[in-house]
Amino acid sequence: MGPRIALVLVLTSFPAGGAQDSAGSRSSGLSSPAIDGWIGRGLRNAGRAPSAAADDSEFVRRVTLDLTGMIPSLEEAEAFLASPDPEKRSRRIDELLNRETYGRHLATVWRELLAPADTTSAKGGSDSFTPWLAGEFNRSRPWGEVVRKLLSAEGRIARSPETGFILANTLKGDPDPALLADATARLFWGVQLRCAECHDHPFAPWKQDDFWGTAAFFSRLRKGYTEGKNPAGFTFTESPPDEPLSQSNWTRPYPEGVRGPAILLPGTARRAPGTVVRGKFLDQEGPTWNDEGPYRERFAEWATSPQHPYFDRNLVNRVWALLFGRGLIHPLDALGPGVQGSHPELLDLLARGFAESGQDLKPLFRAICNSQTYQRTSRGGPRTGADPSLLDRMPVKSMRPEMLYDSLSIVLYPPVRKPGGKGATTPILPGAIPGTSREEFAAFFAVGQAREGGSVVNPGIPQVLRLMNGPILARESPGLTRFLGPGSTSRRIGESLYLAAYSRRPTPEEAQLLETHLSGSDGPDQGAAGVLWALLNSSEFALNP
Amino acid sequence: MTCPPGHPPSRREILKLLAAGVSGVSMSGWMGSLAAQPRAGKKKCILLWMDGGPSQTETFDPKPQASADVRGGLEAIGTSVPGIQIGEKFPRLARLMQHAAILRGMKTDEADHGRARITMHTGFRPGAGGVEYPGLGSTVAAELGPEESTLPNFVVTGSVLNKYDYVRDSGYRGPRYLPLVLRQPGNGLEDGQATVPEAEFARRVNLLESLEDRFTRAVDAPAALAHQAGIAGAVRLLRSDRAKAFDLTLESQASAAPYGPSDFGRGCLLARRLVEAGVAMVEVYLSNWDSHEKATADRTRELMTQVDDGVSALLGDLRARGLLEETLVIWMGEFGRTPRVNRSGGRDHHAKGWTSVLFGGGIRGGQAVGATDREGAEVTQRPISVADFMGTVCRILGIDHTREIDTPGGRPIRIVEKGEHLIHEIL
Repeated sequence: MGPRIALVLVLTSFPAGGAQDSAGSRSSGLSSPAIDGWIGRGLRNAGRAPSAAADDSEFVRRVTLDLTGMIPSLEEAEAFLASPDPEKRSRRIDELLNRETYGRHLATVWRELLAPADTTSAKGGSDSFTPWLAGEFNRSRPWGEVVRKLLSAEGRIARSPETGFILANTLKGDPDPALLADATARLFWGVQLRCAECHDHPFAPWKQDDFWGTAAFFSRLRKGYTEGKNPAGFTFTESPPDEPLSQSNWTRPYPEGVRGPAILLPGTARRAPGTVVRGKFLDQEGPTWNDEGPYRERFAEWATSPQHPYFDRNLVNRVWALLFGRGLIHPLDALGPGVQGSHPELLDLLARGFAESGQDLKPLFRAICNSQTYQRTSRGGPRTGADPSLLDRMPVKSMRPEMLYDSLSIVLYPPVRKPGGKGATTPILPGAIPGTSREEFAAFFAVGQAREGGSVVNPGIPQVLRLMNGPILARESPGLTRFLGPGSTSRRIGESLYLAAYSRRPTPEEAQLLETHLSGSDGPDQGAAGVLWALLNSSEFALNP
Repeated sequence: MTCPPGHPPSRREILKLLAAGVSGVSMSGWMGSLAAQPRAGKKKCILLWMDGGPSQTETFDPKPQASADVRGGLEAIGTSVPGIQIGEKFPRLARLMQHAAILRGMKTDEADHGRARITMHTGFRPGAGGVEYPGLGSTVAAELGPEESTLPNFVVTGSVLNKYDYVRDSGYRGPRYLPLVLRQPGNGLEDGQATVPEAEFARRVNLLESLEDRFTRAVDAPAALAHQAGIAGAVRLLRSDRAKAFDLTLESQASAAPYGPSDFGRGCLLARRLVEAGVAMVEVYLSNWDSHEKATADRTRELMTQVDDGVSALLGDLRARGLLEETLVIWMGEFGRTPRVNRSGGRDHHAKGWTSVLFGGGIRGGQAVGATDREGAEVTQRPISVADFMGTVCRILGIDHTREIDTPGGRPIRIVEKGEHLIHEIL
């Protein structure tokens, strides 16, 4: 009865909003107990008991993958398991949020959503967009500010990494207002406007004017040239309304004689070509700007402001989905008037807290990762009538390909600390796997376009075969040889490999299994290579517990 | 972030797959008995994808009466079907037109490569209704492929248009119906050989099976099941001698020669081997049809010869093996090209009047359906929309195209968009 009473007490203190968060979230909405309170209420209403807490191994592997995109190294896992510190979980979360790999991981996730098309060739061959995003995340740049830079980027694209978003939404090199409207609504508001491009939306309240009214703010964005046809000299800029379009320009002309943001509708089944649609704020009236612009910056102000109905909620929902494999509103582009999702009060609370924190993602991650909800185990057999939105158990997630690559790198080519280095907490940047670049690997192992949280490792036959028989595991690697040599025992080899690959020690049964394999092999080298091969090809390795 | 949307295989399905593949059969090694036979009476499909969009007037809708800037220096030739002429670069195919239905009234909306490639693979505009649609290959694999198969049900090979990748999303059908991709048809199944001796490999796979077996019992998650299905499929394929279907070196010189020396020809040969082995869907890409300038346009002449060799050899082999009636071969790109040669000596994108060709599959061959005007610009008879085309292809293959599939979002979606008028002339 004890835990239930505690839960009831927690519940009665919410949704009043005041939270005493021992884990260090300072703003009122971002509180781990509040998260557990609302999730607990859902579980109680459904008559379901939550699963047990994850053990330290499961937790450290999950939180390291979720916050930095790679598994913990053997040494990190060992140190975490050995630590007697009762606060070690929240300390680990704080430490991970300050690693360089935190921004790098989030940049990988968002790069795929913001610029799924390859934009590097137009930028002169180097990808400056991902590193720029990583820096913004690591500096805790307010999310609204990042998005404002993306929406109002100007100038030479080779020199402005933030043009990556507009660049990804071009047709034949020219910014396309329809693509920009679709991507803006979907990624920054969680709203699916695309269906309203050609007709009013069949399942949501969006009208054709909502789509084109958003596109109108981008209608004068043009590609320019400073060095002829050399892509390094391309620019993006918002043109004055009367500027004639160049021969090579495919962009539709700005409507003549119109003041304020507007766009000419292309010919479609329901409207005669040439209809002018005025710029309109989604869910609201249009602005009363009747000047000559520029419009994008002012549009971006509104699109990211605390008054916007979806901007903060969308970000919270996407972060939630990153951690739980599914949004509080599902799917991620289903936000809209009257859409509640599974835990509406919780989403509101977190969105408010996120806004109050200055749209900083770190306190949001901190609050969620410190919750009991996040720290539940994912283990357990099938249940009848399970509802994934209840979160009585942690869902098992797939890694994205970059996560798998970095995790393989950590195991096979463990980062070597310089003598006299700062010890176990030194930030670790995984190195390249010899003979296989991260990009090449990601291209082969990823499938599909960004959707939901983005692409995941495709467990297709070619990918499985590539790992089983390809060059990565065929090479001798320091990650294996360091356990061999004089004095190594089967037991020590098995335990080290388990810690390196799974962040846990083998169970007695598993230890027996490994012992049998190792003793039946032609020497410890071959045996250990076989064990490592099996571990790295297994589902447990490739999944986020 | 978990499983891509789609129907993750059910636990029961996976356990069945695992039983057939990963667990249990380790000792026997190369299994043959479990190799699935193709579903009796089910048809198969080979899609020959002309990436970039070939000219209709230079291939299967020639305009011998038109002016020189329409003809582009190519003449028309007669075929085995009286009254049907095709481009001069197809002398071998000209003798096989009794098996063909030339669809000369293709009329679509998308003239951008990216969007048109998706539309002509899925039958829907990209992202319409906020749904991810499967390509034809995934649909065929799901509807016609053997449920338990050693070989994958959908294989893709060939070369793609510059920055694009294969259109391979399985959309709402889920990851089970993703294709197996072979970038080089001549290389066979990549990574199909273990890097350690067979006995050692068997020991490793045994250990892996034990790990998977334990993990399957410990967790219950779609992501885990999907991953295990991939491992099970790979192990099954490695243990089966059916992977030989991928190995073109097993073909004699005499049987491979008619396909010509090109990668596309090898792709056609691979398609024939795979269909013979029971694979439901094979797609072979041939890129570089995008010819806005004279230099690229001239090079498409070579592509035409590759098509003439590869496709005629494929049709001949299928017929000789009695497989042509049950195998639909589709030749198409994402759109056609402007009828008049442009100022740069090439042709631009053209979606409102173009041509695709169907062979075999039990259709009434020896016909040209629909027509374009004197220049090959506008459709004047029997326009064929994307839905008309997809619906007809499904009907030929024995797929009920009106059936609604439950998508992961809970919204039922018809296999082919409503409003289709089937091309009854060829059924």
